[in-house]
Amino acid sequence: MNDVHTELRDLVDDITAAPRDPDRLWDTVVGLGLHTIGVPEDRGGSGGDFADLAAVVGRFAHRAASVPVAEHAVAAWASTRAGRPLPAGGPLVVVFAAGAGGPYPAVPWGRRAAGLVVVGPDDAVRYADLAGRRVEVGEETNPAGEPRDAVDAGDIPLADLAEAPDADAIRARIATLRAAALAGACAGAYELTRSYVRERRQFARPLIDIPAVAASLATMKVAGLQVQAAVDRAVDLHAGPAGPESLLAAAAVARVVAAEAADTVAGLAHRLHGAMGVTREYGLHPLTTRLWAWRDEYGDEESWARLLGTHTTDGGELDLWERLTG
Amino acid sequence: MAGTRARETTAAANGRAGTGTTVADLRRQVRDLTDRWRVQGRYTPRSDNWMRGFDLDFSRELARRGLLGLAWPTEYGAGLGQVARLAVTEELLRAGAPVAAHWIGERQIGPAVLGHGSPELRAEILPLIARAEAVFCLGMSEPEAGSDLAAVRTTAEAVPGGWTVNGRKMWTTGAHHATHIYLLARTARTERRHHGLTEFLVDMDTAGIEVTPIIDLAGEHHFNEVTFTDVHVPAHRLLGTVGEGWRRVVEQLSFERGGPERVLSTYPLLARCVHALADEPPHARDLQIDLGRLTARLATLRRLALGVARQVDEGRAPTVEAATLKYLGNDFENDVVDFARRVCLRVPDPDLRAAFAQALLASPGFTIRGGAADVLLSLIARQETRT
Repeated sequence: MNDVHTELRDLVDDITAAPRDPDRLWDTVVGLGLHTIGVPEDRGGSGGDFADLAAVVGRFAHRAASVPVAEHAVAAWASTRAGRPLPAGGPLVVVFAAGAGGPYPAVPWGRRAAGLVVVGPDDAVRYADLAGRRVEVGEETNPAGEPRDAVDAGDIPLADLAEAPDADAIRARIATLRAAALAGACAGAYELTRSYVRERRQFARPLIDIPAVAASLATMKVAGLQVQAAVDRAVDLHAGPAGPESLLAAAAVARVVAAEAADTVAGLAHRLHGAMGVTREYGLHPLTTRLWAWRDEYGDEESWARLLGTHTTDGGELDLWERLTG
Repeated sequence: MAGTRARETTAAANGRAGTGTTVADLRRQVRDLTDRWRVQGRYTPRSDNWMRGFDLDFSRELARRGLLGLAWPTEYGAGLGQVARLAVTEELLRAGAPVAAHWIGERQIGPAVLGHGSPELRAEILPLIARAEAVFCLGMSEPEAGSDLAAVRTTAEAVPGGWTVNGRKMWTTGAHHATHIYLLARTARTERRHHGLTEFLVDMDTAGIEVTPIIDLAGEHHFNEVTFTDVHVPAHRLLGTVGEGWRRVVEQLSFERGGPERVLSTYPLLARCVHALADEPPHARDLQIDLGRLTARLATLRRLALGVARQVDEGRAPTVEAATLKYLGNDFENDVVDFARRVCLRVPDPDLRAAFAQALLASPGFTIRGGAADVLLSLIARQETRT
């Protein structure tokens, strides 16, 4: 973590110190420009690189905040690369469409979206401007209560984004940011659990003195280090010359590892917290429900694993090795 | 004399793997060498060959090319750092090459001697390791001290001109090949059992040392019991400071645990699986998903190994990260064996089947050496709850 990341982390901690409703938090985020990190300033963004963006997304997740920074930042990156100016406010959202047109299911923050960057099944990238248009929204939520709406854009025309980045590069970005968020939420759940088992006394001593509890806490730590390493690997790749295929493979690695870590961390966090962890008031469930929700968004674990396995059998062992060590 | 030979080694290292050498060059060198030896039938790749494959000629070939002591300062080695060394070690593991002769000495005795050996000890020992002339084994575990090294009972008593050692070491891998043993012995009985431990480097041909084989479940001889009866160790073979052995051995374990051999012991088997599945994907879609999961874990573990190497280069001892790597890596190695079992059930391939059987019999050792899994977890928990 470099100095910029430390500053960004402190900033995120500041604005999430007190609970706020999602609209006000989004306004604050927009005011600070945190939603367009990774978009160059001459295209209306805040500058900074993908690693800065991943650090911010990870920290919002650590704080269990509900805010569509990753969705907007990736959509803004893709659409401004194609020469489309950014709308004021937002948010913009990336959608991977199964068919030629809508409706689109489970669109993050669909009810508030100002525009959609739609990646079609043919990998064509298009833009739906929703501002001031009549859009049918079926409000739904993921297990963490975050908006994941069915959006029917009806007859709103889709504009081609001919100069947009490769569809796989867009997939890799948003998937890597979900992995960064999973890593952040893992770290948040771990820290909460570590404090709890050190303070909570049972049988006249802190829980951490029970060897099985210590081993479970260490297992959570190990899972957290593992997912952070996978995320760092995927994020670092964006700073180099890697092509979309490599970026997507690294994202797949991060997502497979993150899904396993999410499962381990959420399960052990609840086990070690006992009854306290299932209360509405206590801060564990906002983290664990996000872990359960996010691991399946923008591709589920099995589909990412299949992609990696197919790469490996198609490419052969030497190719695997060079991707590992390159 | 020793000094002259050290300079020659340095010259050789600078000529081949010194300044200007890129990591890609190092990888290419290792691949060329292992390919040649394999094609010539001089070794057969197999799982766990960093522990099981003893071939002094191969280790000396690496030494001649300046590929040992890569991370050591230029006075004794190539001065290229741990990240460069990682490239070489992981290429050797990928090839399943027979590297046991130099592995322990180069991996952890060299760094320990560099870190806290006397100038005389450095001048004597480091060139021997860099030339693969010294073969080290680790005299750490004992009948009553396995993962709990603070329970060591072997004693070293101060006598004129040095020390007299008495005791028994167990599970000593490669003692029957070794020219030297690293010895952790008790030099004082104290209230706190982590105190009073001291490190020595002892010649294996010293009178009073007896090596007895312990045959493993595969029928192979790697383990030994080493008995010390009134063994004289000259004063200059003390490593570090009397009574500081515990702290040092903990540092050394970071090197022992944090390397890619904790992840890649079964990579040669995984490589065979990839090859077998390439021809039969339609029958093996579900296996492809599991292969993808293994790939994801492997890529992540490799990143963790890189992180450990970078931290060591920065002068830190990444205890938690090294323990994490070993804990997760051993799990991965075992899961590769189970994956190979399932591939064998689907794809008839006698070579794969033999490679699987060999790895399976090696696998119970993976989690034990370098600290058992449960011990690693409690170590991580202790580090994490220290304030």
